[in-house]
Amino acid sequence: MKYCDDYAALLDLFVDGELSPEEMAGVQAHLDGCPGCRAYVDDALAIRAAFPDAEDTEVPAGFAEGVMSAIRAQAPAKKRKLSHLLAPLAACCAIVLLIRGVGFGGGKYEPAADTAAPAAESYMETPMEEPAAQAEDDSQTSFAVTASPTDGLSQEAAKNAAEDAARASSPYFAVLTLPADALETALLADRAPTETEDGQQRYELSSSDYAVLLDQLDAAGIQPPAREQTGADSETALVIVTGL
Amino acid sequence: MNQEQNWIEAARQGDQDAFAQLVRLYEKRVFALTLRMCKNPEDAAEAAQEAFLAAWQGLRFFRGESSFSTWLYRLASNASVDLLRREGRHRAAAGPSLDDAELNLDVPAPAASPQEQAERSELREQIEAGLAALPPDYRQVLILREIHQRTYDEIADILSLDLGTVKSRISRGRKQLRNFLLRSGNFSAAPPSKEAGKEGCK
Repeated sequence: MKYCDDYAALLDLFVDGELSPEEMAGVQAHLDGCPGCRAYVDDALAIRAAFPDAEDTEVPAGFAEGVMSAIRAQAPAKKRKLSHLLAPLAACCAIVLLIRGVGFGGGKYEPAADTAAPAAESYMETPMEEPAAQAEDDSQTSFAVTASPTDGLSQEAAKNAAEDAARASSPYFAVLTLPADALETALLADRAPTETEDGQQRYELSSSDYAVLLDQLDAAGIQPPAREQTGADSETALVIVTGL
Repeated sequence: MNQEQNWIEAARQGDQDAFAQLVRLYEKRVFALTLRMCKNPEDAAEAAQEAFLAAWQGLRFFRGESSFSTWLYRLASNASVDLLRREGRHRAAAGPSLDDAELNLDVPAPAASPQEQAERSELREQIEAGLAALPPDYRQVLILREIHQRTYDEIADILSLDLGTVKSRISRGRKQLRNFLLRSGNFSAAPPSKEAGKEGCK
């Protein structure tokens, strides 16, 4: 049976569908006349039929949650959400939150400065990829919310400080004063800062997140402040000052 | 774009919820691989988690040249092999050790029996035992071929092997597995004969 040496080498390819239609037909024809090759192919197919199904695999309960916990425990990705970050801040100091639009050329990431912010967590700056492209895509538009701790300042002073800072960094903004517990009721509690500038916490909000923020203000009965417009461009900045 | 593609794109941008969906979508398939490579559930879970963590961290660099599943299986294979190496396990602990010399062993005629469901599950158990008895290199390719239905090219991609190596490992692995099953006596697809135990026509 001098052809069998050739066919023996083809049997696995046949079983695994790795032959051309012509080659398949050739092997099939050979199998009809060769019990040895036929037995091997039959066995291989029987093994395949009895092989365990991936979908039958038992995965330990909570596996996916465990993976996600491990991910959250790592350095944050771009829009990582943390809970209760602001609660300690809100408890001990006034917080000025500046919200301004980025991606329109008016805002950009700056290297994280060494900060005296009370937030205990440190995090890595995540550089924005392709900021120019992002500016053109509405769904990627994000709003930077910057929180500055204003220890020891009166509300009025904090507000003035915030206004000055905001004016310096943004064409226009508005200032809103809130009681501290407004933050603890999740105004920004599920959002995480992405960088610090001079002791400020900065939060990246997508446009839908920003809309949610405005809804939350609305739901809390807080009148979204009127915007001061000093320029013609479409940036929006909102300063939220919280009292102790 | 289908749902999975949407999740992949979102996860690439850092959307953890989307990535969680991918974890749930693929966890069984990843476990199907790590469980048989590592052979105990704790190691399998550790390797599976490492694979998904590597996927999360590497996703921004995943450019879609291969399919996501191919890439993920590669990560799962690597995590399994790394874990095996770390724990110093190089060969199967369970079952008889098989090598090429046994390929042409005469096998006693297996008892013919109908394909009932009980036998099917018993055969499945035997296959698990046979897989565990294989050297990891052969086990790996058969898992990808038979459980994950990857083509030879995909297996070569996943394991960073050349095609010839994949072919020979599948061929040898399959033959060893077949012999294991024939010797265990619970397996018969061919009528009992001396030829049935031999490889091909030789």
